[in-house]
Amino acid sequence: MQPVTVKVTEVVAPNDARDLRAARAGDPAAFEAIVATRITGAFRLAAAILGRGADPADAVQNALVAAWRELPRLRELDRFDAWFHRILVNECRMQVRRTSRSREVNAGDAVNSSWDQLDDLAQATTLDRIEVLDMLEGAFQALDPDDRAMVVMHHLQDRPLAEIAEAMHMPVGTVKWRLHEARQALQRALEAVG
Amino acid sequence: MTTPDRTEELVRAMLERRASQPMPGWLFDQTMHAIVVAPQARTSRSPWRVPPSTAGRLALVATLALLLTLLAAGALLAAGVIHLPPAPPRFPVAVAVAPSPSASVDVEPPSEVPLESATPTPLVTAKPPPKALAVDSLAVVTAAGDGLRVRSAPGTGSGSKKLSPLLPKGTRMLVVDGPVAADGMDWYEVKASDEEGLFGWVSSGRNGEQWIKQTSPKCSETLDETAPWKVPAVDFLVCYGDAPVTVRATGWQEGGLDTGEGYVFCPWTGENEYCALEPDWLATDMYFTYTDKGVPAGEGSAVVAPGADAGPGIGSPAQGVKLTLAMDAPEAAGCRVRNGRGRDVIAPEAAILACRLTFVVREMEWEPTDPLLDVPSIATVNEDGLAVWDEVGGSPTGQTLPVGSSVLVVEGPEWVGLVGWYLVAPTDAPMGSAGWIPVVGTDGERTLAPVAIDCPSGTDWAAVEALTPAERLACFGASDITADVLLTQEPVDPARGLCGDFAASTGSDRPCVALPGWLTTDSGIVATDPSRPGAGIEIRLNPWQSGNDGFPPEPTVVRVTGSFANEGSWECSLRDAVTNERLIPDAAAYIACKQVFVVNEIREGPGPTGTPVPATASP
Repeated sequence: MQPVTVKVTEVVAPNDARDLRAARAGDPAAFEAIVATRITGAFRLAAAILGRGADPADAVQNALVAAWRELPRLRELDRFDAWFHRILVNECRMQVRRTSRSREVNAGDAVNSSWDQLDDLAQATTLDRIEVLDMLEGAFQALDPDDRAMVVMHHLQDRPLAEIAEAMHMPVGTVKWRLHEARQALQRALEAVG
Repeated sequence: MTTPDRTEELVRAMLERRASQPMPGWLFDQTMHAIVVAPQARTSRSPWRVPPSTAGRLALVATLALLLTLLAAGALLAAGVIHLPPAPPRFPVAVAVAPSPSASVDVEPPSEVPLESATPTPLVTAKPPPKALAVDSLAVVTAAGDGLRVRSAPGTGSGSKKLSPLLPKGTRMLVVDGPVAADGMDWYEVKASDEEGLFGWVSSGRNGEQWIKQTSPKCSETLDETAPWKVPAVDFLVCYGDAPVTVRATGWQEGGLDTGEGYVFCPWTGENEYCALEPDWLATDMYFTYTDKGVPAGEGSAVVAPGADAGPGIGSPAQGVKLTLAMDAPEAAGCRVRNGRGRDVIAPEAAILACRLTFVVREMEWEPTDPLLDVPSIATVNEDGLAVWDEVGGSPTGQTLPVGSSVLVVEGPEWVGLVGWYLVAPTDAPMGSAGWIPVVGTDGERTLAPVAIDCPSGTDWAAVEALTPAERLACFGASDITADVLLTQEPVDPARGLCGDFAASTGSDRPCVALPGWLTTDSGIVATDPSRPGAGIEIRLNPWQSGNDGFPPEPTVVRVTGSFANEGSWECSLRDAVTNERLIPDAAAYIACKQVFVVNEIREGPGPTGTPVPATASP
């Protein structure tokens, strides 16, 4: 079986140096052009990380406003996309944590509950794809927010490990290892449902 | 059983489903509205702040641990001090006045001084204190009671706001300006040396009562390399002014967005207000660890003057750098913290002082990068009974390595503070004995020593065959190898592959399954050198390259291109076929898979003009 390659909308569009220079100098109209080419991809990334538990639109808005405010101190404009990507991922991580805190959910309980559901479902004779994806999403939602971000960047966006490491402020080896562990957790979920 | 391939497909589908939720129509417009009303700013951090990241905290813990060890060893005394003029001429240091501490004992301590008097103080110049406090000298609060009030301007009128907190007795302050006579008192502009670092005006006393007095800075006549982290900032400025000092540091960490609990936009205000420091480079702190004779000794930060960092940059957290730095930069005179409308957010003199108190690096000299070990490589163990850990900073597995034993170094370094960790596997031990080894980075003690290998060219397949599997990985890593080989398809032997190797090395008869199948089970395809036929190397065909046709059924000389260390090695796992329990740690399976040669392309017949034949297999 060939691996499934899902084309995703890139968060990182080709840099528009002129607009970025003007935006850094304080021109909101120039930054609007930057936003226009990136907001859809940014929303997809945030939605994939956050799901329906937190508001991806808030994360995107916060990240874009933060990028605008911080743009004057970005020296290397050709690194804008990697820099913005890092801001967005961090904003998503913070959103997850805020949501988790506000709901006072014990992460361990969530994991166990998810596995219990999966075990139950494993008893069923057949499961349609939607149910399988629902259960997989449950396991994914129970992952640590950092692991969720890494899985999305790796499996949905096909980002290089070095770029993920930069975004997550982790060594590449740590990213590899945590991705491996996250994948193992998701695979266990699938094995539980057959 | 769910295969990793199906997992991959389902994970992608699940993520795609999450990502496909519709974007709210209002998002673009509302975001642009927020952007238009939000002034741009630049970030900064206060000097001497501990790095906020986990890595920074770990580094600090490691640093403190090493420092305590050093102190215990009694080896902290510095040597090789740099002799400098006794005091910078532009900031005269006044001689400390030492009045009797009991001078104000009989005076009722003010609950808060100066108090706003209901009765206006007569406009009579108060009796001056015994000696005026010199600018750029240090003073200390002597007033008892709740503390000394700091105000935004000299005097107690409505134009002078009360600042908080009160300065308790004993608080040391840098005198920035004054005296200014107002409301019957002499006022000095000061910056407190405590954690708050309050900046404002204080009264020196009233009606003969003295509330502050001059004090001596805590520094010696000589400026040595330990002063930047041993001497408090205001004391350093008073003692040494703009005198440069050269220090050695490690752990260079570029400043950037605060990714912890929020963004810090406005330097030195303590607020998330949007403003910028001018000049902006003075706001970009770099964090590092000062070292004393090569040993981590203190945390610090500095900004790099434009053009100072011309070196190759940091290669590892343990890489050393010599910094020539100084306070009281001339550029500080132009420092301002302004909001988006160009207004000063903090008083210009406060911005100037903050910049003066910032260490500015004028020269940087990077020391050569010191990679502890190449990866992958082979090394020998320097320390007898070296413990193997299950993960970086995790728990010992119980396995130890004898001195002189050989290990394959596969991953690393993973830095925890200044200690690098490597994933290793003994080259001659039973399968499954892989784990992480700490290698001390900067104190000279290395637990592993690299072993040089006489690596052949990848085109010399006979020589590649002659290497051990570990040597092959160490020599070629994930580099592409193109060689002319004789490919032979033999019957697949279920007793070979990862499960077979496990059974052979451990004697276990447990039912075994290895994942992913294409990388861990016997392919039956052996590549030997056509001119010097030997045992050959069993290879695997990359299933992601093409379909399943075209593989030569008969022994054929072909030109193959492939590599060791296939990316799919991360998926490798060896499980009990019944219980799904891991038979060996995944790290061990990963290392075993990395030693497999995976062919990505086959061309018919030797030579570059052969017809490509897809390297195929059915996964």
